[in-house]
Amino acid sequence: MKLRFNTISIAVMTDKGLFGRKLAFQNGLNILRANNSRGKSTILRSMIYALGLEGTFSPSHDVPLPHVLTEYIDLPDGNAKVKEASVTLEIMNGDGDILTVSRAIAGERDKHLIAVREGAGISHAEDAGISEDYFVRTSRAAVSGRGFHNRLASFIGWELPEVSTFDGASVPLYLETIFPLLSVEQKLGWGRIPARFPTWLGIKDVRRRTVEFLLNLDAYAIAEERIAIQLEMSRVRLAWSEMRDQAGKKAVAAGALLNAIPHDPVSKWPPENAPQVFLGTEKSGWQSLPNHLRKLKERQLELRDAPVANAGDNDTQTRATLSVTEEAISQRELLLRQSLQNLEGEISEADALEERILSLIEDQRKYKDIRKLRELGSETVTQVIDSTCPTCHQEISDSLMDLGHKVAAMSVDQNIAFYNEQLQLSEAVLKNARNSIVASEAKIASIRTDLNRLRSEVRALRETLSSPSEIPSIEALTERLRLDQRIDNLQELSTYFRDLMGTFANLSDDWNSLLDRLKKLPKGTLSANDEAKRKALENTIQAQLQSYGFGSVGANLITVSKDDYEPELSDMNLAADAAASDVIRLQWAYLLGLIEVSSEFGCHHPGLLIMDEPQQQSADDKDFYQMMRRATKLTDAQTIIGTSHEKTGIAEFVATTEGIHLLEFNDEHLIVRIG
Amino acid sequence: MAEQIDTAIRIPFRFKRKPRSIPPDFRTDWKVSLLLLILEISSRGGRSSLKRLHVLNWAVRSSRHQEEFRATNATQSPLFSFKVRFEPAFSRAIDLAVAAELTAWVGGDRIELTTEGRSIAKRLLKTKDLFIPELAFLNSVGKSVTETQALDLLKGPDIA
Repeated sequence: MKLRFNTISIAVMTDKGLFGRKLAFQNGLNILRANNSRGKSTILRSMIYALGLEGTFSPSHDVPLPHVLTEYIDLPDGNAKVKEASVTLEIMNGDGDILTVSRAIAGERDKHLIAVREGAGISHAEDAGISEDYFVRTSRAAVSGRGFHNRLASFIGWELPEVSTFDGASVPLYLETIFPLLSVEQKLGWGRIPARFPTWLGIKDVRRRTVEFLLNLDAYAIAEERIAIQLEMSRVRLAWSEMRDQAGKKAVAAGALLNAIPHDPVSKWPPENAPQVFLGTEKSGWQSLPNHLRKLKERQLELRDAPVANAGDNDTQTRATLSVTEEAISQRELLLRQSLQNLEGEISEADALEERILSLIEDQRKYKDIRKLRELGSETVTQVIDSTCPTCHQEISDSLMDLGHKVAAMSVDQNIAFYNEQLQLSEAVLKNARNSIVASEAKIASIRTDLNRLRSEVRALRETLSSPSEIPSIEALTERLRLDQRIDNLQELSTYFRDLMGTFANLSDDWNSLLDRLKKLPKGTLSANDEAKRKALENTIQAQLQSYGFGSVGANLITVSKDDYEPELSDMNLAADAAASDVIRLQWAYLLGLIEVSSEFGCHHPGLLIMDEPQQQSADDKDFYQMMRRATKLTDAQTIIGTSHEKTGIAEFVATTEGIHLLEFNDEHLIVRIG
Repeated sequence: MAEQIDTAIRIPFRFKRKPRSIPPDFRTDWKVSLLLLILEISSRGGRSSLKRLHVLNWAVRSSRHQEEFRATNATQSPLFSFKVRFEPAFSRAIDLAVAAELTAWVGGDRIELTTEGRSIAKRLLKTKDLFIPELAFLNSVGKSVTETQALDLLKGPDIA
């Protein structure tokens, strides 16, 4: 993964002839030196422009280049008007492939097009392939096959990660967001920690995503995995509770209660206290479904073997049964009314509790805010009003409530604890209330089933009494029919319950594997590998700062944040609190450090760094030289530095340091007449 | 009997006052901070009448109030659902804020933010993790509630 700028050529056709410049850069450190306002920045910016990456600096679609390339060139004998201008750049990747890209700066040609040729179109024009147009700075230029940035990314060997935007879409990590770490612009790029990332692309956490990509950190994948697991967990949780609700309703409808199904998914299935179905029976209270079913079947067998009695067989007995049954009905009806009333009371109690819990949660949140408010320290209401009256300076209570003189208010922490307890209590009570609602509903359903049975019994008894005495007793027949039907129903419930247990077992399996996946994730946001890279970055930054004469604080106090991988100093705002020249030193150290760490760990940094006038804020000469010396040590990188640093100093430095490619222009303009 | 009581109370004892729980809305810094935020976010020029402040305070007070206020406002005419109460604690908070020079009276019937009050409000806004539901509500209301609307809300519906 490598990107090198081999040669740049700028051509400006004016009404007074052809102007321009061709420059070749090498691997290692390149110093482009010229006096002020000779066009160094123009050259460096043109390279970024040639790649369609000016969006790194601003969302504007204007050509971000000076008038020399777009309007007119100042000449001693008046201005030369620019008719057409373009920039051509030869770039090379890690496999040594060369690509020549060319883009219009001024003139008729569409500035959204970049002409791409394979091969060295400037230095060996005859060998270069045919030109193909790609587009930039239009929608989908990063993803479409004809988009130049798509082409450029694959040329470098990058597979750009998908990242999310503020409006929830998923886009590739645009190249514009990566280049602030590869190219520092003279006017706006310096003195910024963190670097000036383009926010207009709307990518969330763009600073983190960029460094994660360049250093190939697992952090993003880890975060994604964590989100995926959470999504999946909430799916299982939802399926679980839906299943549980549905099953509960079905049971209640059959006059049964479903017992011991946990509210939330569990990883062990069946749980130790195995779920069971209970039926409310007339005689022996709650009975488990299999037991009850067995009893009903015994009765069925009994009846099958006995002959069906005739209507007239036992009139007295029938009459007695009739009156007992009618009595039972009126008892049940009374019970039903009471139970319904009871249920209503329970429901309204639960509603009130829910309301109370909501307001407790709201109050608790307010208290947590109050606590944070008080921790803010300076410049808050707490500090201004304190606990004394602003007018008379007497002590006032920490409350706007009229407490009377003698009552003390709880402290904020006490109050939070108090609300916690209230909340726990209310929730426990609510849970209880909900359970008893379910039990009541089941009870009511079972009373209703009973009532129906009793009523049909009464009907049958009456019919038996009124029918001719030699036909079979209707009461005896209906009992058989009813029994058959009840057994069928319960058998169905039993099957349903068995299937249900299977469903819960599956969900429990899913839950288990999710817990496993969660366990495999590292504790924090970084993997062990990430942490090693972060530490390496921290080390090189500290070592560099030491050698660059960083003076604001001890260099070893500068750490690299675990959140956004940027240099930080405990809680201090580095950009605001460190000396301006120290911020520049830090920026050097960070940008070079990224290359060092990337090449040590084999990450995605293309080993390219362009710095326009890095000696900002009167950073000392010796520190500046030291930084460039460090850059020469990066054998597998290309650093291009544009500077107007004093000529003899640079000449001396280059003479005494190995591995520097100096492009010295002294007082000469970089854009000159070439034809 | 009397003697027994007498001996009983001769044993030294002490009363210990148990601190009382205070609802968060009655905490001074909470209420005053909220007042500053209402003035900063939902009042033109950081200035508002007392009545209007009371209406907004009542509206922002809880999520239920917020919903009721929204429902009332959506129909553009006062309904029965949102009933404003003058909260004495809020009046006290206003008094304290004036005394602490975070706000000041203008012409006897209106309150405005002082420079310090405004800077505290700005600082609160900068923290990003405080007053989240309150800020969401105030921001959604913006400065749209006029004095007339506030008065209408206070008076309640005209029932024929």
